[in-house]
Amino acid sequence: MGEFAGVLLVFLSCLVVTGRCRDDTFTEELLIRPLTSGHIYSHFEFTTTWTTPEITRSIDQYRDFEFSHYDLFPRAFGEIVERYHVRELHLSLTQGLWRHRKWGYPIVDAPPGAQLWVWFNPTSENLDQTWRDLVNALSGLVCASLNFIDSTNTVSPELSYRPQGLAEEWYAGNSSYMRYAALPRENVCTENLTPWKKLLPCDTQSGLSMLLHPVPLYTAHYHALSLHLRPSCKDVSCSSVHLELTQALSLVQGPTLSSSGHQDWSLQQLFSTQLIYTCPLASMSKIYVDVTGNRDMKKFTLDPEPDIFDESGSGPSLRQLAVYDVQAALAGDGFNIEATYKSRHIYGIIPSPHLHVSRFITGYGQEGGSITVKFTNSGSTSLSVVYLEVLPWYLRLFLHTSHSYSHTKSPVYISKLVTARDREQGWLYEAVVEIPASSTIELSLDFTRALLKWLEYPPDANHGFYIPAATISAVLPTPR
Amino acid sequence: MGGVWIMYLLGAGVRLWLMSTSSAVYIAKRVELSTPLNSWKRVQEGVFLHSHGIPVYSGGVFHETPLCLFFGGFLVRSWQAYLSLLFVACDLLTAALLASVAAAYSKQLLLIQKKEVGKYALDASPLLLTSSSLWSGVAYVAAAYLFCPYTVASCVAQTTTVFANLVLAATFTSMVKGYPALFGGLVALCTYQSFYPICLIVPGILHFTKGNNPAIFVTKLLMSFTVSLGLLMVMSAEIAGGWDFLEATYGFILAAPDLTPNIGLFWYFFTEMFEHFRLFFLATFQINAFVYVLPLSIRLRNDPVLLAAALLAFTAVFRSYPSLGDVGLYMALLPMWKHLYPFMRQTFIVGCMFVATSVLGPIMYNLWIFNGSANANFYFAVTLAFNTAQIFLVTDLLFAHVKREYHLFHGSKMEVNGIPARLTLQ
Repeated sequence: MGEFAGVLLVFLSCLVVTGRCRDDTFTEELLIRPLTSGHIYSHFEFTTTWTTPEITRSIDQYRDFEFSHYDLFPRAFGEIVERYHVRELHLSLTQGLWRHRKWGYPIVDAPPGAQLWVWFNPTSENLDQTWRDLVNALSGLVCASLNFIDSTNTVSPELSYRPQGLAEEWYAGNSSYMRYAALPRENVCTENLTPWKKLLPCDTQSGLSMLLHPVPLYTAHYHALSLHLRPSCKDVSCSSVHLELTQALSLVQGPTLSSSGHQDWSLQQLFSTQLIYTCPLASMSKIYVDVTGNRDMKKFTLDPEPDIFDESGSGPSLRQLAVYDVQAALAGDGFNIEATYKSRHIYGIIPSPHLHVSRFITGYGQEGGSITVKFTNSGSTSLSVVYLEVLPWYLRLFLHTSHSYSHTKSPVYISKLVTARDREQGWLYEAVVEIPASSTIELSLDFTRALLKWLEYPPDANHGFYIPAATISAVLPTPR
Repeated sequence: MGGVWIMYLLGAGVRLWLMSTSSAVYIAKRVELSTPLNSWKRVQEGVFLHSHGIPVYSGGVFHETPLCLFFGGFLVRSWQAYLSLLFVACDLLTAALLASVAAAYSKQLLLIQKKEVGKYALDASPLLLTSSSLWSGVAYVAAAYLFCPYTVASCVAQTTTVFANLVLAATFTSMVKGYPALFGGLVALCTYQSFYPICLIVPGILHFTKGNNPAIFVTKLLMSFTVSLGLLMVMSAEIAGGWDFLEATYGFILAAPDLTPNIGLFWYFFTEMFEHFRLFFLATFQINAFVYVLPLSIRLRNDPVLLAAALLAFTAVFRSYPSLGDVGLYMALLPMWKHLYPFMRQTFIVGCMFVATSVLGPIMYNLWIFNGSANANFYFAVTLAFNTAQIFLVTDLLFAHVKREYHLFHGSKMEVNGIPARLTLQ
């Protein structure tokens, strides 16, 4: 009896002690934004945060994470993070092109295909080998062919892709800790969605992930799956830090017109299912509908009525969100949000965002051509943007034609240029471009194509070659 | 004399006129003329990278020597406006040097003939050289270099083969005029630029052993060669800041990793090769470029200038990145052997082949690259026929030389012990 009481006491104290030490939370959010072009933009964000003294220590001292007692944080992913010295990881799998000119800026931007960039902890091991191993492990985790990432398409840019999590200056300024690679030819399908959903605590049984049915997701105009891991502050004062895993899914679906030509939409129509069960592990589960420009429900009405209205920003960056608390709303029946429009949609002129860019290839034949980028700044202040271009080695760039001394109309400062070595290393071109207010700047990079050996052509060689998307990093004066 | 000046002016005029038209850009892009080794666009790119502090030799774009980088930088920055004039002037100088080679060689031939005329057969008098025929050969050499379409196109395309040809012509001049130290230094410069002219040392040694002080001349030659080459390498290491340039220049010439189509043989084979056998075939191809030196020098030991021209021709066919500028150089030297033309039997076939392949080549390339209706086989077949034509030309020339020698010493009847015989080239 005494021993039994002793064991019970130890067991209870363990519970109490471990209950206080573990602190992970899971929140789910869905933003639905009707776009001016008539499309509907839906953005899911599933955020898992985790704080333990070990994690805090690893974050502060830039050491490898040591996870134990997994609860909400997915174990399959955590083991990869532990093993490969990862501090920050961003993986996205996208199908479709985000049209900045028509749709504005997304919450999480991703290029078509697969993109992976990782900040590693300072370690004595060979980071290139670690990168190769990490890429192979991730390719198994998300069932994508990320193993095609090798030295020919990996780069370490100088100014782009700085850490999005906590990082001190000595770390954030050292690009040797970071690797970036993109696979533009990668396809996204249900095969990638399923393991991604399995990383969620509630899987597909309950919560907002119930809405993720493959058919409406994969018939959308734009579909992006992403995984973001970063160390961040718990609150504004940053008195404590936590590890944050964000799984985001962005979707742009075409407008579905009702019989009267109105652009009515509903959750049932968008995702072909309704919300029934709430996720018990989620501490917050909310749906936001962007009603900016819909003051007093003049353009469309929402049914059921939103719980509260949230307003932020002012002037051009004003945002109004109608907030639904899903956990309070679900009472056993299905939960569906319906938007009814008062009049037909007008396909009018869409105001362009502050900065938008168009990139295309000119030239004909297989000898060569040129990659031309057109930056348009429609704001009233001049912008400095960082332009990153990663090219395969078989496109031989000739930069002297576009960067000669006489070409000083708008100076382009090359911040990093890594010339390609045949079959070993790709091109990295990073430049800072100054765009004056209300003007368009054109930058062109001439290239000639190299003849490949018969083994080096991709499958279906006549389909052509995919070039990774360029990245533009800028600080905009207004958030919108 | 006035005719000579008019010839040079016309040559310069043709080049300058073509450079000023819009087709100059198109000509500069032709793969028959610009290879990864001699394209001026790559020199400009290398100079640009160098001026921005980006390591030039760590990438795969620039494969010229560091001295070329240095002089190219100077030309691009300060002499951009006079660049076309510089290329034309180099071509004119090359033509003049080749003419002086022809003149000196003709004098030597006449001297040798005077010494050996007693050993000739009785009915060999129509075969004897006359100074008038030889002198016209000199003018023809200069005209051939000035007006051969290959050299004109090579100059208009602004390839560095123009400078390489100039140095080669100077090498020939120093060899024929008998300056061993200068010859050694110039061969070192040629080798430094494109590596294959190292085979010219052998005809040089053969030429200087026939002179008055064979031992001293040959020692001077070899010493000058090694010292110049060493100096050039050290200067290059200084300019390039290390020895990385060796892999990007000579490593590139020998390993031929860039498979851009050209008029050579390497690119097609190595595009379709199994990786396992790549090193083996590479070694085979490179040895093939040098293997003709030994047998030819044994056979032609009495005529080193012909040997040198033949070696230039074989180099132009078998090197890893040939261009039409290389072809034009040895073709300009052919009028020196005008006296061999009666003995050449395949001139019509060779001429037709040259014309046909020179016209078909660019057509097939355009069909392949721009129209997408042909493929690499078409272009390679035409290039192969072009190289075959060159081989036929050289072997025909050598055979004619052998035949003429036979007829000089044995008369015009081809009989061995009274039985009709046939001459074969072995």
